[in-house]
Amino acid sequence: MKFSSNFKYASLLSALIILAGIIAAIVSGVNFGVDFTGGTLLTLDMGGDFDTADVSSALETAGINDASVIKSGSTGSSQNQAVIRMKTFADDETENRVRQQIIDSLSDKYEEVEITTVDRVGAVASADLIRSAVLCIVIASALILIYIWIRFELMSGIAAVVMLMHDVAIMISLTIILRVQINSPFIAAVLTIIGYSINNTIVIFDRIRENGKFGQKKHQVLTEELVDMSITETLSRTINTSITTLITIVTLYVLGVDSIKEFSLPIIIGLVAGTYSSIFMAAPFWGLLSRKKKAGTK
Amino acid sequence: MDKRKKSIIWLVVIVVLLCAFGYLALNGITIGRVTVKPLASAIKQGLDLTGGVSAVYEAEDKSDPNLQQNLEAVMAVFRTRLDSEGYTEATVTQQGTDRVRIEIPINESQQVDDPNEITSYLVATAKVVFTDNDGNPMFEGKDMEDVGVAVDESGQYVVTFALNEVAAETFAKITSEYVGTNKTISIKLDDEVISTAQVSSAITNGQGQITGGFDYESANRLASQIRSGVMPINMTEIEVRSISATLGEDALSNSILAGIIGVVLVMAFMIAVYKMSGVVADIALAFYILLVFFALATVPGVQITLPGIAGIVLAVGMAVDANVIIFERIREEVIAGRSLRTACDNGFKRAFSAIFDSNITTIIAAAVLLYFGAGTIQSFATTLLIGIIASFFSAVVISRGLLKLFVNINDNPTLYCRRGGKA
Repeated sequence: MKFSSNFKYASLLSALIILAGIIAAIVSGVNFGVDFTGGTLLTLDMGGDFDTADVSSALETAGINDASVIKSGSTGSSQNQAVIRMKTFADDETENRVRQQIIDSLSDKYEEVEITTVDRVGAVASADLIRSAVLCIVIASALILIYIWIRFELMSGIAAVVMLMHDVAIMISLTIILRVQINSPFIAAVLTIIGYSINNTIVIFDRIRENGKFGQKKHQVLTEELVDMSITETLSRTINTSITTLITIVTLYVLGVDSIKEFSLPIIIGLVAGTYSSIFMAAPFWGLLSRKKKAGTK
Repeated sequence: MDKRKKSIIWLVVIVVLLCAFGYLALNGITIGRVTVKPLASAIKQGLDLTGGVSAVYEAEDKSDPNLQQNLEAVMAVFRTRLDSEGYTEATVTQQGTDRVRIEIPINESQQVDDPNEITSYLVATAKVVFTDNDGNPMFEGKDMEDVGVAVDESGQYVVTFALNEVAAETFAKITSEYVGTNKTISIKLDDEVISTAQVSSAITNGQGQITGGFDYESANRLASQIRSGVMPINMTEIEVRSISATLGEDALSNSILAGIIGVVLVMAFMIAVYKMSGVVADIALAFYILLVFFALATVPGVQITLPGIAGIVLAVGMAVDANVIIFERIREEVIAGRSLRTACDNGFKRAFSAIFDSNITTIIAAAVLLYFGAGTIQSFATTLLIGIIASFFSAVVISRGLLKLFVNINDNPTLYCRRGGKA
């Protein structure tokens, strides 16, 4: 298959998705969770089906007007949980008072109402999270670049890490477009993809390394042919390894609770993006870099 | 005995052992006086599964030259206060250079009704000062020994204490001086006067009490705060999370179900595509799962959380990746005209570098998460790391041995390679 000559089309598709993500971020904003914005997240178990308007009016009675209420539920069709997101209170007493008021005014209509989770994240903690997230991604990428440079050569390292950035960019773009909430597990998801999606690329590079050695002795294979040959030869294992991993993570997404879904969906996106970039972009990009380098040294 | 029979016996032994270990891990066993607990019960669960409260505190003054020393003192104070409240399973850990994280798991015997109550109790300075009539301090909480709770004559709860020698002398001197006058002694808690009283008789034995309209609980808390010592520096609460126990239970059972279904599907996929080789991969996968659970139960400091379970389930998918790479390689070797035995040897040898390199990159990412992450993220990184190492071992060592046994029993290449090969 002509992977090398189709590289530009593959890149165009990715560029379009990333562009769509940027537009979505500008137009409708990014759905950051309390981990990133700071604030208080209160989850109520209503004990049965409920009307979000009731919760909103209970909040207004307690003097809170800028909170958002969404329905949620871990068990399939029954959505018995109300997730209330609001600004963090000035002090503990105010918060306790407000919480009690909300419960009191709701308990008339919903007898079994109870608080299941309270998450309170300060502004300091959320600012720190963003800093350490960026730091994590940069350091992991740098270390991987160095490792591949040592084991292969510099151009392979650069190509592999550029592809990682591509996978992460696609992950972020689609997560924004799909309006999935971004919380701290998203960082773990990104790092997982950084560590994992490179595996397929390495299998292909490993094959290029092997075919390259072979080629030098027998017949001089051009990089473009070498790349296409290596991708084709490893195609079935690239697809099958991705399928086995997708099977487990999709099962988690389908059966998991909300916080697991929030975490597994970005991983699914990243896995697909990683497989796509490994097959259609990584090795052709390496070929492009190598040819440029050769032309430069001549 | 010929090679074939030997291999069959070996294989049966391995499968029986695997089943036995699996049974042990799930149910445990009691032989005579020796009891082996089920492995699953030895795995520590994180807060998001058990339910509980976690809070992060930050030092107010980050330029403090003795920050580390003071933080350690703060952690010791937290520890004592948590223990005296009965939260012995709670953990106190330092995070970064200026933060302390506490995690309080809850269960049937330990309930946290209001997370704010416990967190504000923990962080309170609890500086008790007795002052004389002019407002000068006479002695403090640190001079008190044998701090306890009692009921005074009027039926009120009070905190009782015995003073050390120096403070007792001061107390005796001033109380003798004040008897019969209208001079008063005041008790301050965190710079707020909680009670003021005239002296009815000189206190020479160094025994005293703190009154301040306490109920049983608040008197007890103040007593334990005094016992645990004054907080050396001010700490600000920057994050509090609490999760109810029922929510955690749901999350756990859902994820376990997802894990089982995921494993079964992956196993079916491997057999459907790689036939006998798939069976080899599946036995290796079962071994891998046992290995991971064993590691989770025994490696110190490992906690399993929701993202952690996701990490394990994800690693199941990754665990067979190495086998896929090896089996595809063997197929190529067979197509190239080599005997199945040689193809297997070559397959493992030649696929090794790709498997090794790809595992190292995943380890790099997990290690970075482990180093920079906190709380649940750290637990995800740990389980992922355990998963990668276990899968590398099971895919490279275990499945290689198993495949050799299988080939000894039957070496027809069509049984081991997916369709589409010329062989």
